[in-house]
Amino acid sequence: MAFDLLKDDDLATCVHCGLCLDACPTFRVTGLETESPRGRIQLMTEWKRGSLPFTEEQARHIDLCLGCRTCEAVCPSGVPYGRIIEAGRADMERARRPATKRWLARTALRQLVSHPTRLRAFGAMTRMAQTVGVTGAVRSGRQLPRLRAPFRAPQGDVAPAIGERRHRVAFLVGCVMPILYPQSHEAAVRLLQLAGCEVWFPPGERCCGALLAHNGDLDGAALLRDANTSVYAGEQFDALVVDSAGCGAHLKDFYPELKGRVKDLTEWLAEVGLPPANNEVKLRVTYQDACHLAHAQRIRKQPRDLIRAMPGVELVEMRHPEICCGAAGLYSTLEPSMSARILKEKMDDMLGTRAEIVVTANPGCQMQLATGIRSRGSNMNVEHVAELLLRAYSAPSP
Amino acid sequence: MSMQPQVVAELRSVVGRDHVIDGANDLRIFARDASIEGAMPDAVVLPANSAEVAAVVRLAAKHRVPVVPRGAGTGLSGGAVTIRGGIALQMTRMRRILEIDPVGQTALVEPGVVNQELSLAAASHGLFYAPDPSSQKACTIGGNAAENSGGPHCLYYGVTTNHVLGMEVVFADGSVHWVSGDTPDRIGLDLCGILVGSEGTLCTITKVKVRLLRQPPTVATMLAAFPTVESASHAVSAVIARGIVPAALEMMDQVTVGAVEAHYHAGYPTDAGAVLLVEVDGIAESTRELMSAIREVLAANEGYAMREAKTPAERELLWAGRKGAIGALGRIKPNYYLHDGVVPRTKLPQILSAVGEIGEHYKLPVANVFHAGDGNLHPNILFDLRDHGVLDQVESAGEEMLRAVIEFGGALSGEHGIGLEKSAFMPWVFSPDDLYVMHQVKDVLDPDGIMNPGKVFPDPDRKRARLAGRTGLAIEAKWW
Amino acid sequence: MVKAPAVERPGSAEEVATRLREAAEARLAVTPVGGGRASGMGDSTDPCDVEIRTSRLDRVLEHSQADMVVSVEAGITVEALQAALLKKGQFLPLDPFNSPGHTIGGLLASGWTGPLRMRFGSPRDFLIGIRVALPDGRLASAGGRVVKNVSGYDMMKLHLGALGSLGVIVAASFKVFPTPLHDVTVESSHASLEEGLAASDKALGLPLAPSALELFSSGRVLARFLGSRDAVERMVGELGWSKTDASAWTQHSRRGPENWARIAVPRHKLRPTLLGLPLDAEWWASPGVGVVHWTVANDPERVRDARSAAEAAGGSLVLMAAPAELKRAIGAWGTPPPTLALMQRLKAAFDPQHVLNPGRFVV
Repeated sequence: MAFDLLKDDDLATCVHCGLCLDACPTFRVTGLETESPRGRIQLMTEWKRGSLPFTEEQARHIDLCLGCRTCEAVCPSGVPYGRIIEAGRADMERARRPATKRWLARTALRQLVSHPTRLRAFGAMTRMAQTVGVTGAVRSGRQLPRLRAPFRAPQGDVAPAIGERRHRVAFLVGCVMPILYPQSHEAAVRLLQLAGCEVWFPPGERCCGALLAHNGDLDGAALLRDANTSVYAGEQFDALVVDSAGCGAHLKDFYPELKGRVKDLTEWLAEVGLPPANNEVKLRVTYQDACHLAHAQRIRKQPRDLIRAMPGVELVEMRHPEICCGAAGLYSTLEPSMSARILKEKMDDMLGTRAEIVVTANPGCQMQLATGIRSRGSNMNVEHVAELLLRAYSAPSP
Repeated sequence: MSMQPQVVAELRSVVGRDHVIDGANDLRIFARDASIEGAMPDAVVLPANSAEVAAVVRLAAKHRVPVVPRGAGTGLSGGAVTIRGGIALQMTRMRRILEIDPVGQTALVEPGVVNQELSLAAASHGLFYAPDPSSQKACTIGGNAAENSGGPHCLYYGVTTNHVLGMEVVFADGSVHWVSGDTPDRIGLDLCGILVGSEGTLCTITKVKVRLLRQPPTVATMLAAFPTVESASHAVSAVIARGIVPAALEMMDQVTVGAVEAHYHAGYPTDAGAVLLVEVDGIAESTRELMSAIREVLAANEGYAMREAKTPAERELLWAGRKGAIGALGRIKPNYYLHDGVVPRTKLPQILSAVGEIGEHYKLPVANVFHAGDGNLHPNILFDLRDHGVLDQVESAGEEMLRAVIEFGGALSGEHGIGLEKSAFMPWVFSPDDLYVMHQVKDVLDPDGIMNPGKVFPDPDRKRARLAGRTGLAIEAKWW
Repeated sequence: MVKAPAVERPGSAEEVATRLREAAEARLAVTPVGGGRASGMGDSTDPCDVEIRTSRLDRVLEHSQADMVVSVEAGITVEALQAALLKKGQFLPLDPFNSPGHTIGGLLASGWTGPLRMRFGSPRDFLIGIRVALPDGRLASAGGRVVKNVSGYDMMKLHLGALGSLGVIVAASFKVFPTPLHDVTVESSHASLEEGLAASDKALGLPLAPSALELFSSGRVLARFLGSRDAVERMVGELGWSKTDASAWTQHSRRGPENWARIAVPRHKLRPTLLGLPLDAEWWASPGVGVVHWTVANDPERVRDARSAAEAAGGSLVLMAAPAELKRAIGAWGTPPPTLALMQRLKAAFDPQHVLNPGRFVV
């Protein structure tokens, strides 16, 4: 069996120290070495070197990895876990027997996210179903939010800066965000305008490919990357701003042409600065790190600084804000039982803060957290960090 | 020798189907801890409570199967390696903090509680748990108690045994007992004292009651650069000789600093021959006075570029660099091997130069990062296991370094334990009589030898010291 | 060859081991004696056949000032050792009651502690090496002479407080401490126990807690602050008690009533323990540790009640010295721990002929 996408030098950087173990959500709930980053690296190393045969049984350990990369952030040896798990999964997909569930999920993904019109149609159908109350028909591992009209770029594909124009940024509209969380995009764009940015919406831009790459479909992801790169090529902009952590992480890793110009919304806002707040909101808030922001992009300070700067807002940290909520892209759908165990631990921690709002920076996390909160009968609200930040600015008078 | 299916079935009936792993492929993943040793268990068993542990141990006793308790597997001496097969008793499902008593300043925890989780939980009461091994993010309290773990702050606060008040343990016959408790003076023999640090060879720990301390009102942390490890070593001795015992006093050499800086960007000076990380705590008046005295001493010993952390975040970053140092060495070579011998502090300059010479002799890079205040060395020999024949060289170099430690009047291990890696060297420091008497304790508490066999005591069938053991008499003459 | 009755004064560790082996072979009961300061401790026994006195083993074997480590023979007295350390600006936080005259070996075997335990812990926390003569004639060492050591089993713990029932301690190594930069003792007097307790609590709650604090049944509180000058002076200022001479501690350590008991309870349960003692009781306590020393009368009922209360609080009451009839009535040690059988097996392994202090200790 060839495991040729996995690189032996990447695998060899693991010194087996075990510092990653308790950072791994699946290890925390199972206590098993086989469900830990160190165990998974050993497994892939042994596959690669041929000292263990590839078996479907052990492939489960790789399936159960959330890809949250918390381990990568705590790893002192600099093991490139994200790269290893993506390569390992791609190698594995070629090695294993096709499984209907995974195949369906991957095909559906490719078909859906690669084609914005299909996604929008899916959104419209779901919205209709929600309106007439037959959501059971589209039930998945977690519940979809109540859908509103999808986000659409303004006329001319440009939103002007408010006040002096100091920067020009491109904005990633993406695939599922505009349908599931149009309000997050709206708030993000508004914040950018307030920060003196002219916002350009690249016409013809498609899904960034993150969902495909995270599920072992590197070829599908490359097709989307090439299409998008040509969209960005002709245009001048200071940064490509992304308000979905998973997309941001993927763009930073997978789009060499954009090197250094991809910015998470909070990263960018912290860099260019927001105007002084003009609205005080008394709120107790807790912040859940989105894995692809905190671990893949190492951005933890900026969103917190921005939140703390809001007059009236008290940021209460949970004990482990850096631990994954169990959403992890399609994970909650593919591995509902493990996802639920991880979510339970998250809820124990999060509800303990007695915050009114939990804020995060990724659509999958928002959905998962909302599911967990509802299941506990709590009235905590979930917001995208952009929505919370925008509360510091009173709405323009009509 | 694999385990009889009947035994596996009985284990399953105790802990539940899902909590026994016996697939050969998966067992391979449990073969190692953080040392370089490895051997497959016959089954991994994850008990949920003391009663299940007791039942598993009774089964093991009935079938004469080895039992090797395992926490997070971060140990560096091979203590959790199932060298004679048997049951790897993985304690990680037992990870509840059962009680924190802010008035009595104690905590009662299950053995799988991660060290740092306890500190986080104690912090909300203004308390902390003092022993802080560098692996505290992952290592468990049960593992800490079994190994009598140390950590940077043990210089002032003492090691695990000084903080364990009592334990619930399961002995080799499956009996469950509390040893000691929460009183300062107990009646009878101090069983708790001998069980802490017994490396899983006498019992399985199922609950630990620990002392918590009040968080100091002020903490001052300073980094200082030195031209050489020798000058830094002299500075360490000078600080202690001045009558100051800092909360922590850590050294990193240039190789280590380079690796650490690449990951943590903590602002360590990469051009220095060595850096010291010094911490003092207490009330503001005393930290101010101590720190200024320390500055004086360090400056008099060629210390320069002294920088005190100004914010808690800065302090945390300085410590993150130190605590992640051993892992960070993976940036230089993918494998490391180290012994944690202890020398009298005044011997630090000599031992460090001996370590350097041994490394050079074997053409192996060595990175030093250690608890200088205690004289507790960590010479990390760096290598790539994929290089043919390297392991033999590495082990030889490690053995020579440890032997040098003993020649300077030191001890085999300061905190990692003897485990598998150092058991062959025990006769260097202990006479046959010393070892006989220790083994009497083992024979009383584990007459059939099922608890973590092959550890602590020398096992000539498995590994012999390459350097000859000294006679007990010679050692005694030197010691007493 | 040992013959009973005998008082042996061996001149070397080897000789201790030999005498011990000979006694064991002859089935003679042996009592190891250091300074004899704790000779009242333990249950009453018939007179022993052989006393092994360590008084000739009184040397400092090595004191490395820079390494802050000292190794001594077991028969050296605490006072002689402290004097040797003081010359090099160091000390050991050993301040047992019924001083002077404790030997190091005797002190380790008795497990007695004094007021400084609050800050420095008991010898359990700074004993780093030990050498013990055993009834089979072996000399066994454990630990070492470095301040941090996990090589082999921590055999020191087994002999500490075991009243010589497993072997005779012949030498020990300690981590020593620098003489404090600043050492101030203060005291205050209070009309009632409640006020005295409140005053203790106030002192114990200071950000730099005292290194020793003793509360007396008379209502007096004595506290000692060690540390840097500014820190100590600030604490003493906040407390506002009157300064007194450090010799108060020497006087205090001379307390050793003819009949007394030690009550140990979890620190936070000391208050009810003290309040539960007879109103006219004479005692002194370390509230920061959870230990009370009580001058007992020959009154089994009272002592038994106090012991029941201490044991109910998860603690113990041990007779330090008492008339034989009191010991016979209530026993020196109280309820044995549930692990007694294990302890007895350990005792049997170390002392199969049962010659060491038979009947005196718990096992």
